[in-house]
Amino acid sequence: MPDLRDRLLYPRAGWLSLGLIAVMGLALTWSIQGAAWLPRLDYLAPVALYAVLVGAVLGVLPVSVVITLPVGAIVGGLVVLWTVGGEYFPALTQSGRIFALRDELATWILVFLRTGYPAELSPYALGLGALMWVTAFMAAYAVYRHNRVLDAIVLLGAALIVNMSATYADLFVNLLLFVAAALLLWLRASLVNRQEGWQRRRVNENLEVPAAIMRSGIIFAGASVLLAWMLTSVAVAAPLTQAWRGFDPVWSEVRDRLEGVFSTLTNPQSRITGNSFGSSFRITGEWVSNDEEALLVAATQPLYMRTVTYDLYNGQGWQQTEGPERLVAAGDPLFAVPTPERPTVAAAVRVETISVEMRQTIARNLFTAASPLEIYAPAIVEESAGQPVLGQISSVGALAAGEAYQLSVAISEATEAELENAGTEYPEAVRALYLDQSGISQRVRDLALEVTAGAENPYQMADALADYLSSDPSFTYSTTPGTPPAGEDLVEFFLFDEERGRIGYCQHYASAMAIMARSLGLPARVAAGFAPGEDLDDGTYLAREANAHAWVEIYFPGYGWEIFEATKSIDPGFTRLAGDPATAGRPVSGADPFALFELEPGFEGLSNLPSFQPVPGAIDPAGGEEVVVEDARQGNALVILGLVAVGGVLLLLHLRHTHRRWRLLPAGERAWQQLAAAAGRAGVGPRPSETIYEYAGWLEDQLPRHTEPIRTVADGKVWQSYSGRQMTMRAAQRLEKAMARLQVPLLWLGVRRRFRNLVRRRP
Amino acid sequence: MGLISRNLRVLFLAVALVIAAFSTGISFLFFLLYLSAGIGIGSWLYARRGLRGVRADYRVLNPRTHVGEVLQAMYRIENHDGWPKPWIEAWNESTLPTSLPGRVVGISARGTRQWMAKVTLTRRGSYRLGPLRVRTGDPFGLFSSEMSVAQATSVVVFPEVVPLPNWRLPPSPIDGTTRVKRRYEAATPLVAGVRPYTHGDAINRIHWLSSARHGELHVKEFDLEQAADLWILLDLDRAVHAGIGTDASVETAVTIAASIALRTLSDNRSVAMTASARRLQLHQPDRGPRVEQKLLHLLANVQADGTNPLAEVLNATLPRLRRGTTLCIVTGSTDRDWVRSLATLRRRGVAALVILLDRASFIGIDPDDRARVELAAVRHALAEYDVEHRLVRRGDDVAAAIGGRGRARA
Repeated sequence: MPDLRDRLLYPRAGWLSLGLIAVMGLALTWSIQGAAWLPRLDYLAPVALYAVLVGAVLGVLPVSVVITLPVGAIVGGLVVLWTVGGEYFPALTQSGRIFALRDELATWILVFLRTGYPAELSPYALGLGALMWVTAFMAAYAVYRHNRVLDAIVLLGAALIVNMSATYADLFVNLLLFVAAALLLWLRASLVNRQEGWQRRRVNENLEVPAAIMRSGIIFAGASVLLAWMLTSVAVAAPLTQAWRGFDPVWSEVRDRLEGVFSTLTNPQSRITGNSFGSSFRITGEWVSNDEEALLVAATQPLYMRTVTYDLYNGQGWQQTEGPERLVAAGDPLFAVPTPERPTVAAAVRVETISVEMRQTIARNLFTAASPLEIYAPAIVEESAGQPVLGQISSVGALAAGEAYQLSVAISEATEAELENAGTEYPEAVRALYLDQSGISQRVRDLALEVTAGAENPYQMADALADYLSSDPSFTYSTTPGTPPAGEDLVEFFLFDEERGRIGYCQHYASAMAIMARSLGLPARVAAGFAPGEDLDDGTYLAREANAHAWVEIYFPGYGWEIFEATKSIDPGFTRLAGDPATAGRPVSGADPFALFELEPGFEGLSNLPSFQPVPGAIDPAGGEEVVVEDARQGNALVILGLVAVGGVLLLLHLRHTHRRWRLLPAGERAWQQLAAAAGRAGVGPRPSETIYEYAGWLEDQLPRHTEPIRTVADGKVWQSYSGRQMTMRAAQRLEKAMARLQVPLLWLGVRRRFRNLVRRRP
Repeated sequence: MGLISRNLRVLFLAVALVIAAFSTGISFLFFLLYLSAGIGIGSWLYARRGLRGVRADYRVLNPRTHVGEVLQAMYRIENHDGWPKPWIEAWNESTLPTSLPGRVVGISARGTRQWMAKVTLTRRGSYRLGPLRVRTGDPFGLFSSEMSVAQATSVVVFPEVVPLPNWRLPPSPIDGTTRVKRRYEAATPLVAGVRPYTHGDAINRIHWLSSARHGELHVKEFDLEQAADLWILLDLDRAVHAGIGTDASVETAVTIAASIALRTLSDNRSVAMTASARRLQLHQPDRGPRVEQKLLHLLANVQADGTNPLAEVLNATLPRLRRGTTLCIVTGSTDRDWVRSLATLRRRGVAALVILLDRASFIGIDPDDRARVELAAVRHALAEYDVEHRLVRRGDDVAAAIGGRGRARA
């Protein structure tokens, strides 16, 4: 029992380690909370702390792993259920919380299997809590049971890195906190290991030694952190991005599949899924946003900046039908075949070259406006269902803040009269994708007919629908709308629920209008991107995250996709001229779809941007030449190359210094010193107690095929040291040759020995 | 995780980090990359520079000493570098059963640390204290630097020597081998005193100074001279010894031999020794401090690894004994054959003393009847031949057991 008491009170890892692991766990917790994957994540901190405590206690107890791990799992399950239930169902009793969690989990599974878009959040909370428990528990257990500090750091660190990699949220402070705690833990563990080694070998330590080691370690670690931070601010590059290009389709597929499962997560800055600009979105919960700058657009007028369009409504949200991806070279037409994305009535459009500067990284999304014709940077176009339509457009790599690109767009100037006369001769692609009426209830259809009563053509119908949704006083804009009951259609809920209906944000309004329009036979789709931002009065428009938006686009033959703003309280920023119905003829069927490219751009927005740092591979719209601008990545790569070069120069200087030192030595001594240095680098240098021939003999055993040069060098050294005579030039040359023959074998011997040490398991 | 080496895991993580950072361009991955590189490279440089400007040396103060005494070594480390050294570990690899304790010290820039290391010696023998090993490393335990300085030192641990203040050499059965109360007028080197002159005393025995002081004639009286030499026969036949470690009978035998030898040498007597180890070790009679060292060296290194029975060793040794010598046999043998050989000694004017070790007691178990009978038989045989003997058991006070009293030499 005294042993058990000592083991519990004075564990080998010490209780300071427990505090450091707890800090690492909290850093992970705070980073997950900072990413805001869920609206309520306060339960994670107690889960992490309990996990660390239980892991440490079970690690210290002299009990078999067959018992400790199941006990840890059971305790973890109880703690997670208790904390998540308390946070998500605070009004219920403990048993009621368990039942509520069970019900939500069952519902989540059923909905996921049926539609792929579950709305319940508590299952995600349970999953996150379980992951947090496992990670923190195993980290503490690894330290206190096996003294494996590195494993604990890797485990918690990997979770932190995964979380930080999955979001654009700035979580660097959490990383710093984690790194500080991890380095301290590592330092302490290293000191403890060293002290144990000293005790084993009867090496007494002076009292000041542990403090001196920790002090020097902290200074060293602090300097390393500071240096890393400084280098990070000047030298970041992604030269391998292109190498992974072949995996983009795979990653896109994975991301799309993940979006079904994780679309409910609320992180507005997710890199992987859950944002408004993925290939699908689910309308649920609160709309979270902020005022951080997103885009700066140089154009003649406010523009809706689109990055993705959705054609398929699933009752809970929208998704883009899967289709192939095409890499479009900078300056090439986005579509090389006839497409409904390109207007054919040249008189009704104005071609502009606009510029878009990223103010933050938003995945790989590229933002276009109106009918994009060409992008002067490499782009990837995903065509929904393989049809020549703009499903999603993205860049080759993630765009960093400050990077910009240009694109030619055809901005519609079609008048109401022209759109009214556009007719209904829809292209095949439009008919295939945007007229789907499956799942639209009669109630919705009746309401649409009621709203559009008196409308005589598609434009008037669309205009009436948009006007109804945006102007009718029964609708209220809110970022915290009600959530439809499980299984209920979102649009039905939004339009007809008497208690919680008619309250919502852009996605509710856009969905309602698109479905109502389709019920009337209008080809409609939902587009996502940014609404026109703040006019900075210098020819640029600043879109903030709060301007993230979803809107409706209706197709009009010859004129392409026209934007209709149905969201209450959103100003579209443009008006259509009424036009003269008498002169507005129906577009000519079969018009040359490439005629627009003959038009000269009427505006160059580049000069309006305060600076222009083109994305990699961007070209000049005028000349087609690649824009050679000192961009950050090229500069950063140069910094990295510079660092490598400095390291190489220092190495050369060191070698030169060493050779200078040898230059004045007699030939025999010099050859021997060179041999000893080369062997020392290989880890097989001579020992002080060895005679020359003892060492030479040992080295000959290591390099049995090179005994002759070794013997020559050893003989030379002995002759030089003990004969008292000068060595002849010929003998000196023979020594140099022998030494030269040994350089490579010694180098190879060092590589072999180091590799063997690398893979050899530590006892 | 334990199936692959830590180094391989670190390498894998580093490669993964490099690929992830250069593939994504995410800044925090670069931060981790630079941090890892900084700590890795910095640790290597830290360890590599750790021994720059360090000078170290050590000196053993008493390389020849006895079991039970303390071996002392003085260590000195100087830091001629401009950077302090948070920790420098110094130790010797040695063949000592309990090595000299190493030490970890922190040294300030251009500072010096000096200390004395001590270890109590528990086993006799010749040992090697290797070169001083000096090591340091980085704070994270990734790399270390090590150097060997100074030369190896040999340490000889002599057997324990017990003071024998009451020890008297057993007399040879001839005149002059024992101190007796009767005084003789015959001239010997040992003057006992003076007495008044009586008729018939030789003129050359008159002590004139005393005669002048007393006012009457006084003549000198003499003691007879004691025996001249001691020949110790240490039986190291492995068959007659038992026990392990410091409790082994051979250790007691060696201690007894060493104690008797040194006590006799201190009387300015000649001492010879035969040790029947694997190779028969033989030292001719001699006296003086040089002999003491030679005998102690011999006794420090002998082991109970001989194969020759005591009777054979006696047969080889007896011809070397000259008249007046006392033979002291230290053995655990209960074979009575060798006792018979001693019968001739008295006739040759050689005295004998047997220090008989109770072998069974050194095994650590109660002796069985056979062992008891054999021991009794050999003692009986010794008594029968009028050979003086002492019985020593495990744990006995050696000084008391062999005829003297005293404490072990600290």
